[in-house]
Amino acid sequence: MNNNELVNKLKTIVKPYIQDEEAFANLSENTDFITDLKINSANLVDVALDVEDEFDITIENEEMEKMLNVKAAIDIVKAKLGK
Amino acid sequence: MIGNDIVDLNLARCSHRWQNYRFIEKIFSTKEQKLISKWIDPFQCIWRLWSMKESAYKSHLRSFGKTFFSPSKFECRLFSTTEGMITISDQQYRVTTVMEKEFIYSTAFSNKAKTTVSDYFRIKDTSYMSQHSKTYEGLILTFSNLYGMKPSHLNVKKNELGIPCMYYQNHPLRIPISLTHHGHYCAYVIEPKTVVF
Repeated sequence: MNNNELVNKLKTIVKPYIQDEEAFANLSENTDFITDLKINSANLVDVALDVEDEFDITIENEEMEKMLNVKAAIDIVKAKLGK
Repeated sequence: MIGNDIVDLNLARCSHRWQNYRFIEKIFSTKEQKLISKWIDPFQCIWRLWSMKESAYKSHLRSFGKTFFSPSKFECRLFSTTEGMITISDQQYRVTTVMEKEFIYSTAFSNKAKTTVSDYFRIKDTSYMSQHSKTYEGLILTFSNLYGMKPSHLNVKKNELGIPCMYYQNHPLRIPISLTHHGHYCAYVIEPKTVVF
């Protein structure tokens, strides 16, 4: 799966939790979940759980620590799928 | 340093994730999970601990300037129905929590924070823009009364870490403020200090 495909999958996952439509429409690898998409921090846990379900992976709490933006989320998924 | 967090319990109840073990595991330490399971109202306990962790994170971020998402590392201790403490690494934050039927509101203080001015209120329109503008309006009004500044001369901007800062005629004021909103509830807190331009 290339980065574009991953970004698109992630876009579908975060959609229910975003509060800034404009930032969502312009979502890229540099988009921050909290400062750009205005995702509520309790919903960041939902994002992590939905990512686990979508890619059939387990994200450890230490890995979730960095999952604050699209790029970090993609890196985690890629590392997991690559194993 | 200060931080605050409010949870609209009706909104929190809408998502059934709080009953999911995977959700709990990602937020709470083993010790906290035991505390929740023994609590008379686990739902209330979950959101009290969450708001404590989130408010302490905001205070911590202000002191250390590094964003991360690791709720389980913010270890909660409860002393009474309103008082608690959060420990993260070698830092401690006192946390005061207001628990009402419809919301839970926590304010965290590092040891240096002496007094604070805080308020919470209910709004009708729950859109992000409404929550955002009502919280900012409330904060600016209180701040202007506190410092005798015209509300029209004040505005709030967030830095690249998402930390809010009060500006007076575009000069940043070094007075810590924190804002929070969720569903129908909004809150702000100010740590009053002498104004330094």
